[in-house]
Order: sequence, then C-alpha cells, then structure tokens
Amino acid sequence: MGTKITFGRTCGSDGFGADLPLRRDLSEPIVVDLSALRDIHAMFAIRLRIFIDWHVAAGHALQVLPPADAVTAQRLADIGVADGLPADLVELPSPRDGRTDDVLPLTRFVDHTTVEDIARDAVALLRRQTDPLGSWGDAIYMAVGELCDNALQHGRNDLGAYIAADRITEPQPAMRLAIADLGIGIPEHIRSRHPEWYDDDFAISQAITSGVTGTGDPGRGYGFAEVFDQALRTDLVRASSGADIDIRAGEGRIGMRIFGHTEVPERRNVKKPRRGTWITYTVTTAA
Amino acid sequence: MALQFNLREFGTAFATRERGAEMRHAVLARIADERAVVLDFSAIENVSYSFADEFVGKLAAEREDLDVQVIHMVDSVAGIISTARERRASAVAC
Repeated sequence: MGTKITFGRTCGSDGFGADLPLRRDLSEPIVVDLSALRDIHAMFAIRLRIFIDWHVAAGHALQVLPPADAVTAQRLADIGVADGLPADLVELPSPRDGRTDDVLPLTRFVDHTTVEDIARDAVALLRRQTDPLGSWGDAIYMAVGELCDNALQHGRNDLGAYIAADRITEPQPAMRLAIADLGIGIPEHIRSRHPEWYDDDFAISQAITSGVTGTGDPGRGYGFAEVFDQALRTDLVRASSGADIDIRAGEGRIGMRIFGHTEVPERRNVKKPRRGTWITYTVTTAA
Repeated sequence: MALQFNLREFGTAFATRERGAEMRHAVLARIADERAVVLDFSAIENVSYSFADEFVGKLAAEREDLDVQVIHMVDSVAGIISTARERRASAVAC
C-alpha cells in the first residue's frame, strides 16, 4: 500500500502551493512523485526538504521519484534538495560545480553562527544578477539577517530553520529568497502578547508593523519594518523593479509589494493552514 | 580614558541579535575604569538592525555611565545604528 503524493507539471513554480503533509499517520512507504514536475521555486525546494527531513526523523520509509525533465532535475539538485541525503532516497544528478552562480544552496541552520555567511552569499548571488548592486546589497543583507533571526528566535523546533535562494530570468530577472521553519508561527507568537489578535492575517499584518513585538522588550519589534525600509531606500526601486515579501503562517498570508518608493500590503489567499512560518522575498530587477 | 574597540577583529559584517549580544559582552568584559568606549566600525560593510540594537543600542541604553561613541561607519551602517540607538533610548525612557 503506502502513501503516494504526486505533483503536476506546475506545482513547483508556486513556492506556497506545494501541499506536503507532515502527519505521522501516513501509511508507509511514502512516495513523492515529482516525475511530471517542471520549474522549481526556492520555496518548493525548502518545502520538499522539510518534508523529507521531518519524515526521516519520524522513522518513516520514504522515496522521492525525481523529475523526468533533465533540466528540472538538475535545478532541484543544484538548489541542494538532496545534499547530504542517501542516494536511494532522492535520485538526482550531482550538483553543478558553478551552481552558486544561480542558487544559494538550501541550508539548514540551528543557530546564528552560519547566518552571516548565508547573508554574504545571498548578496553575492544578487550581484550576479545586477552589478553594480547599489544599496540592494544592504537590503538583502538586512533581509537575511532579520528573517533568519526571527526564524531562530521565534520558530524554535527540532529541525531548525531552512533558507535557499534562486535566480530566474523570465518573465523578469529576479532573485527569490525563501526562509521557513516549523515553529509556532508568527500569529501564535504575537498572540502571546496580544491574544485579541485571533485572526491570523491580522496578527501577521500587526507583527510586521514597526514597534510591535511578541517578546515584551519595548526596544524590539522593528526587524520586518527595517527589511521593508531598506528595500524602499534602494536606488533600483522603480516601475520595472522592486521587491515582494510574502509571509505565510497558520491560516494567514500577507504580502507586501515594494516599488516606486511605496509599500503596498495585501491579503493573499490561503487554501490550507500551515505549521511554522514561510517567507519568500523576491527582488525583481530591470531586464 | 576611552576603551577602543575595533569590530574588524571580529568580521566585516554582522547579521544577528545573538551576535550583537556577544559583541556587547565582549566590550563590557574589556572595560575596567574607562568612562567612554569608542566603537570603531572601520571596514564594516553591513549590519542588521537587530545586531545594531543588541550591540550599540543596548550598550548605550543600559550603561548610562558610559559615553558610547561610534566612528568610521559607512553611511548605510550609520543610519541603522542611529535609528537603533534612538529607538532603544526612547524605549528605556518610557
């Protein structure tokens, strides 16, 4: 018998669309069929790797059937989905030597010691897309630092947190940074101080507001606001370029589009609640 | 007399709140009788807001007996540190 989860052709392109259940009652062996998959988003890679690590830690028998499309399989390998895993669990080609020209390989982190290296590598990846980098280097460094800090401090769980990034060229050149953890999530964290914020969308929108913190320290609560501010200050923000931050936690999903020196918050559709916090930060630059 | 603290000894970019706490403790561990500390940011390219708050903001706010001076910052770092110090000072005052 077992449980088979099959992905269609476009399932990997929407970072938040992948539905990979973290449940102990799935019958074994669990088979994830990616054979029809085309196109990989950095967040899909993280979602897949968290699914693998979670079920392996739970002692479940698992197998991932790789994409039949060679380009997609190579992309999945380059972004590091199979790094450190047994070859019979995920059969993918070896990562390319020059993969860091196109991706920030998927990294699991459990403390702050590697965050500075990750932030530096993320800046280097964006520089391969747009040089001179201008103040986008400061913006990306700030984003990686703050979002990883949040994941470590408010997303504590046995697996730690995950980060990856990739670059795409169509429809516009863009770098997509993805960070996720399986902790209590932003809404639950912020409700420890503000229990009246029961709606997850509202809780997230408040949590990213300047000066709002779930820690009780009145000097904190500025991390997200500073990420937005840094993006707003960049000299590359104009009609054809900008940034988009997408935050999903629990039943909530809030997006923030930053372009032309304005920021536009918006609610985004959520099909199913999701454990932890999942954030994508997309920087789009002029072609 | 002022204690001179060169961040370059520890790296060129600092990204996390925990790192900021480490640096603040490193400064405090070196202080003997000094009433002032000079934080030299020469060659520091990037800092995150949480690092700046935890290191400089808290150091200045929690040790009011210390004159905390910050020198040789690039513009982007100077802006982040200035904002963090202002917010931390007002948070303590409230």
